[in-house]
Amino acid sequence: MGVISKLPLVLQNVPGGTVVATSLEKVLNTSRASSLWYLLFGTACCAIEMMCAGASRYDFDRFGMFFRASPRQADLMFVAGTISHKMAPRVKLLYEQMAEPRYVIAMGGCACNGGPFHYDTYAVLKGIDKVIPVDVYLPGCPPRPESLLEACLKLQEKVKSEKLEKWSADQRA
Amino acid sequence: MAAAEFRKTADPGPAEYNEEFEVNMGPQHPSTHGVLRLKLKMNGEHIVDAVPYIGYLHRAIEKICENRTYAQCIPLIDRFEYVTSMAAEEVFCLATERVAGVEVPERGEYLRVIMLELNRIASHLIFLGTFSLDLGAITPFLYCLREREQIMDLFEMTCGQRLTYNYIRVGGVSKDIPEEFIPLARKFVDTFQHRVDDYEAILTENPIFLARTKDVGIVNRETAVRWGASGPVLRASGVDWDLRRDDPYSIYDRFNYEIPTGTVGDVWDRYMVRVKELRQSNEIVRQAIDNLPEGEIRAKVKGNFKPPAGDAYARIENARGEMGCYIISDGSDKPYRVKLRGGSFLHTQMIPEIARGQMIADLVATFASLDVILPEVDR
Amino acid sequence: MLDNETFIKTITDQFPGSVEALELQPPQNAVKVSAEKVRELFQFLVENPDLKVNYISSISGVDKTDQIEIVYHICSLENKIKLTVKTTVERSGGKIDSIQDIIPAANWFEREIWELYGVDFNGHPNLTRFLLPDDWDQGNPMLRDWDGPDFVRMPEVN
Repeated sequence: MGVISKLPLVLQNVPGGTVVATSLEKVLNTSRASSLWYLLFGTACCAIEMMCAGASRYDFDRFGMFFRASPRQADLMFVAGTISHKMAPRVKLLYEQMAEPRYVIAMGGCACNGGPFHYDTYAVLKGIDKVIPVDVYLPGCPPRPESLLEACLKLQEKVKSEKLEKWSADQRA
Repeated sequence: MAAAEFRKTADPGPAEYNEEFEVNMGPQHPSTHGVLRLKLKMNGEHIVDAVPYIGYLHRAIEKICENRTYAQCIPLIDRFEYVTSMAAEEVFCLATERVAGVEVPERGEYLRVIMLELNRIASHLIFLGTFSLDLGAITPFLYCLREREQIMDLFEMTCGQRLTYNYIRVGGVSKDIPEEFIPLARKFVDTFQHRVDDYEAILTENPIFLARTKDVGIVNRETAVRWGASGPVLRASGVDWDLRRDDPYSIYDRFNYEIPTGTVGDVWDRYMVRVKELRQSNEIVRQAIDNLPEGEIRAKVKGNFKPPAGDAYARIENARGEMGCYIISDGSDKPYRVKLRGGSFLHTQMIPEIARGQMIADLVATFASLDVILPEVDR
Repeated sequence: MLDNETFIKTITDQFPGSVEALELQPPQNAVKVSAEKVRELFQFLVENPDLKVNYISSISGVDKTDQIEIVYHICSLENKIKLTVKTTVERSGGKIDSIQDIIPAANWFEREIWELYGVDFNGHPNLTRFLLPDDWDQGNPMLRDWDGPDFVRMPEVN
């Protein structure tokens, strides 16, 4: 609805090429930001909270978010839970299988820096950013569904503020 | 029954096409409920062999616990079984209390039972939701999570956490329940019976559901015992064994409840046992709320808690079967060794036994009905 | 119904000299067995029609710094009786007979102890990487003096 009501206002300025280019950017970014489909991937406790966020009370669908079982169809990956050294290469593979542009939310202490499993353990990766780039860090053990929603809003802000030139430059690179 | 006949008569095709191939399932697969990896040897759609690979969530909780004090261990043990954290805390505290000879006060025991049984309901609701999701029904998932949120509210007002509670402590519980807990819990208990009727109305007699579950993934009595199955999986195979009654702990001998068992041990039996357990747990919560005594909630335990040297194995009936904790104390403030045992560990081990000869679509139903969660397997 | 004393006596009488009753704190049914006799003991426990101790609760390895202790917690579903069996093996290159062909549930427990403590189970068909990554080459991490490059101790806080 937002797009449809705002679009004519932006397009009023049309006689000037640049204005059209920026508003196209706005259209593209808004549509990308409001249909982030996430990969159904969870390893530990955070996955249960992610499930709750997708279910009756918290209802991810409001943000146009819906789970996809295959990384090929997903734009967003929640790294929900502890990532062990054994799992890390698989997470990297999953990330690489996703189509660009792709985003990652590190959900929970374990994904941010190892969390409660940082010390005295031989098996846990100390932060998922050692393997894949992260867009939003979400602390908590596990974070509540509300904070997961907040993280998604933050990510939407980020997506909306992206520049088209940079995006296409990334594509060419 | 058309589906069962189809399974028996499914034609493997001409002999020259009968070629075995391998399929990798997991670690990221929507129906493996976490990070289990199965290497399947297939012939057409039939499974010749299945090999589970685990360890993708191995976090070395046992190793960390050796370097933490008893109080610091409890939050870690929460994460060993996050769907029923209360049970994980209970089994650790039970083992520690046995070593240290601590007696839990009456009100503490009642609060523990209320929380444990509410947590069992919450866990079975997760099972019911994801199980039906795996079979293609989304509505029960939304229904189940709706009721689960009410339980989460109760936990949250008690201890401030939704999932990993750190509520049950050595000698009792950390906090008393707030005033509004009892009325809300009573309201939940009263409505929940009817909610279970709703779930059953959608699933139990549904022809599609029956076709997917009846006579699928049979675990017979002997296999279940030999492979160390426990909890609902063991009971669905017709073994009348429940640690709440057969190796009593806490105050479960004061409540009236039935222990449901199945007959065949197929997916439908396992589903049915859990649905009946939902009702029984609800009854236990009702009785515990009615008889909740006044008094202390926690025994006096010193801040610098050092149990005497000794070792004890405690086991409780969790939603996923026997959950055990073996603790060795050397007299210091840290446990010398903590060994955790979850029902899922042995159920995952059993998968090749059940999967051989099945069709791959039935494996999804079978695996979901075992209700395995991976942290219990990998620790 | 089997009571605890006759139960322990039945076992110790069957294996004089190699199985002895243990007095543990807190009290529990416990026996100590020499590593060579583990297989025979379990054969007896499972096959004896009066005992039918055939259900494994857990098998744990314990690093006692001079040797590795292996603790079996088993029980009988019919007789509702529990038993703790303890045995010890050498710390480096310890060997013990596998019981996974007598009770299949022991398979993964033994595999785990093999991987994390380095105890070799004779007759076990599948001693391969289990919980650790496939390319793991840093030894047996559950040993108490184990150390690795990625292993950070928690700093002491007063």
